[in-house]
Amino acid sequence: MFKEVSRKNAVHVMLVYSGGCNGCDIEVVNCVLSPYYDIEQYKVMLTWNPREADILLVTGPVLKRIEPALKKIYESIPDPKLVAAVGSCAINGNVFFNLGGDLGPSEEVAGPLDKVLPVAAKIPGCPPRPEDIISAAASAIPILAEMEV
Amino acid sequence: MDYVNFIISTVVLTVVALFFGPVFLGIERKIQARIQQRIGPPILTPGTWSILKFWNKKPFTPNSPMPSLYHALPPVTIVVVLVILWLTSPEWWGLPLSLATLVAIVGIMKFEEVMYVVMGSLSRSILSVTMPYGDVVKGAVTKATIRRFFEGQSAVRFIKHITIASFPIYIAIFIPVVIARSIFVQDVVLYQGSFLDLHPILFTVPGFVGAIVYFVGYVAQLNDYPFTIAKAKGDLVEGAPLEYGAHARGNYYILRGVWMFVLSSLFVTLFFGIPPVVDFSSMVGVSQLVMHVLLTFMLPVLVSVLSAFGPILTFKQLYPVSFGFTAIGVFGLLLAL
Amino acid sequence: MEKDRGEADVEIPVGLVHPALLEPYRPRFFLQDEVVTDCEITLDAQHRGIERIMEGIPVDKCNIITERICGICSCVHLWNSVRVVEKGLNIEVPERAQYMRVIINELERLTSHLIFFGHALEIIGHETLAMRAFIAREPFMIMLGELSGNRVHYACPIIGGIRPRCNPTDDLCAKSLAQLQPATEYLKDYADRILQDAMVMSRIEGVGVLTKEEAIKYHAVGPTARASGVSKDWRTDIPDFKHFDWDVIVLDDGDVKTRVVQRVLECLEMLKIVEQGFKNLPKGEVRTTGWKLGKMPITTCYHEAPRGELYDSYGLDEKGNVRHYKCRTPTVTNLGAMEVACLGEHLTDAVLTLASCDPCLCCTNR
Ligand code: SF4
Repeated sequence: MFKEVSRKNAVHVMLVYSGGCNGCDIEVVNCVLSPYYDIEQYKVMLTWNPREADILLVTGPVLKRIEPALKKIYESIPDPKLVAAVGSCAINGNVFFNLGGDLGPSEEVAGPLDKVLPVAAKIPGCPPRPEDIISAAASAIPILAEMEV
Repeated sequence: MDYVNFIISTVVLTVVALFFGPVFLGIERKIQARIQQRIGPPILTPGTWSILKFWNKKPFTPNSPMPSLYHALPPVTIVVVLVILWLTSPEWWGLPLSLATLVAIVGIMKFEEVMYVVMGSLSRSILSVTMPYGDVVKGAVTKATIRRFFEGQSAVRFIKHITIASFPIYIAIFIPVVIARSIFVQDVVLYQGSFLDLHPILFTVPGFVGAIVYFVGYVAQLNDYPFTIAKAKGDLVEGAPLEYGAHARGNYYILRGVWMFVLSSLFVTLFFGIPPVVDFSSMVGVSQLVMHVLLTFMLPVLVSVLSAFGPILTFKQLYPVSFGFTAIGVFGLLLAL
Repeated sequence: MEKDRGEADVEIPVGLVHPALLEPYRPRFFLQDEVVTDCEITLDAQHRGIERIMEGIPVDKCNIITERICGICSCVHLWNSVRVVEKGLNIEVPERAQYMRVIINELERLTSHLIFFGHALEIIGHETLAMRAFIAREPFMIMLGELSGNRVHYACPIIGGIRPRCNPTDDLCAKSLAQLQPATEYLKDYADRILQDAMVMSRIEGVGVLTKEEAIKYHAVGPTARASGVSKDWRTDIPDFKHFDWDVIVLDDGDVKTRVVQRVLECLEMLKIVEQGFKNLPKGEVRTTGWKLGKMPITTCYHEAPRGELYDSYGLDEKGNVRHYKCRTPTVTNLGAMEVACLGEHLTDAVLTLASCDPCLCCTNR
């Protein structure tokens, strides 16, 4: 009952830092906490509890040390769920994954986010502007609303 | 005929509580948002729509030693809490149970509080101990024998919270009792006159003191800021309800909303003398119910203003605050004598 | 007196994902009832191996990557890394470039301190004041975006000066100066509002005391040390800051409140510097040319990041590639000091104490 309407009207996002530089994280927190952007007016609320979340925002290139925790958190989110990759780190690994001197690129990176989790939305930028994050969240909501389950 | 009335009134009150409870959650959030100089979510989003959304998610088994008991806690508590509302309505006064007393109501309130302790000890969220991360390795300090989950710590804090922070509301509930010289809800209500000729206890000096103390106790009962140490976001994330997800979280949200409504309604009954009457036969009856519901909005609005300006009180501050207001309550009691 | 790390009955591990930590690290609190008797912090979660990437890449590229060490204090990493080459090869920096570097750096320090207020108040549970911190922060973010072209990674200093796109026109300077006025007013009101809130003060006063001896023993740096009475600010040693009139703020009490007050007062000093910078910005070139990259022995530079002492060192080979890049950031020692400062506190206060050194794990783990 009211499946689509309710999903469109209340969305909880959870933010996980997977080892980027913090720039993206602060911009996401900025969207939520700063009254200047105030993502709650678009019916998106921030939560820290995977059981409550619908959308998982991941920033950073997913380091090997954090990968198991990230997977566990993804599993804890009840269906339907979406993953959004915030920032170039999560999308393609940025400098940590692609660049290297004599010793090659960093070995700590478990790969960009899509190697680890199915990614539904990608928000490019290093870091993306808060406006981009908000519009991405807004465009992910209809996908979420139409998902089965 | 009496039975029909009885059933109708019980059902109507239940529906009103289930509808307005979640709306209160939204109103609280909206007012806070306005104080924080932002637009904030639409009023129905944090409560009603969220609950419907959670109900439409796929159910799962929580990490808990007793999953079904853990999931059953909120619905059971909702029913228990609703009993308070029913007991204050005139239809239930006449029952040969003699339960419509404030002593019984206080007893039921204890149930709601203890429920959180059970909830905390039954939950095993992934966020603390079971997080897959190698921290107990060679060379790491391991002094303690138990690794406790956030929820376990939350249960411990709830026990302390129940012992200290619920004094104010109990004292406040008994101020009308002393004024009316009876523990029966009926007598307290009738003492304040009929609906068209009201002399609310609130407008007497002891009644006013009682109302202030009731308000503080109300916030403490709701575990809202600033009395949220047992569920403090700063260290326990959310405390006992961490593992609720999907429909169970929807139920938990309802529980919070309904509990807010029931306590507000009890306030209106005791301090304004307007019980939740369901009587659609006369204009007076209808307006009494409308008035009752309108007045229940008062406390949530005040709470949201307080909680927007209050940091979490740790036990260091909680003891003096709680005892201070208890002392004020006792003073009110003395005045009422 | 050394606080003793006592026995414990329960352990509460916190993290990796947690509202009070934000970044992934894992403190384990050992409690007796609710009082922290010991604390152990595991830090390695965010290790990305930046120093390894740097080995053998051209120095310009390396400098840009240093920015990706941290998204809160990006400018200072880049600046310090650039200073290493400038010091090693004796490259002059024009005065206008020096001014711009200082302006960008101090604006960034302001935003960093404002995040700290927001975060600390969020942990205390005061959402309203936390959000006001972000209101106060936004004008500075916009200003940085206009001056440099990006809100977080400004990429301003380059070897021998600043990137030409960060060279503001006179109009932009005047505009920024005009924006600075209301932002400063708001910040001052906001700081007053925090310091007069009795409930907030009762939460942070006397909590998490770090004495001067402990601060020296555990080598606390930056604002954390300055709030415990240790007077050390690397900015006093940097010639670029000699153009400005400002003070080092040192306070003695060493509790969470002092650390907040210290940062508030520091913010006012920064505003002074930025204002002077825009007013006295000299005309002229913004970068020197004509220098050549070549072999450089390992050179070391210190700088004052928003959280304290920042250390960078590397050498160059004949082609101008980086060798043996090394970076050390303030939070390691600060968190070590906080491990001690939080002993004997209630769990909620202990988390607050950890946060009160403004830990930045992405720098620490690199
Ligand atoms: S994308 Fe850029 S800003 Fe975001 S975490 Fe990666 S390096 Fe930092």
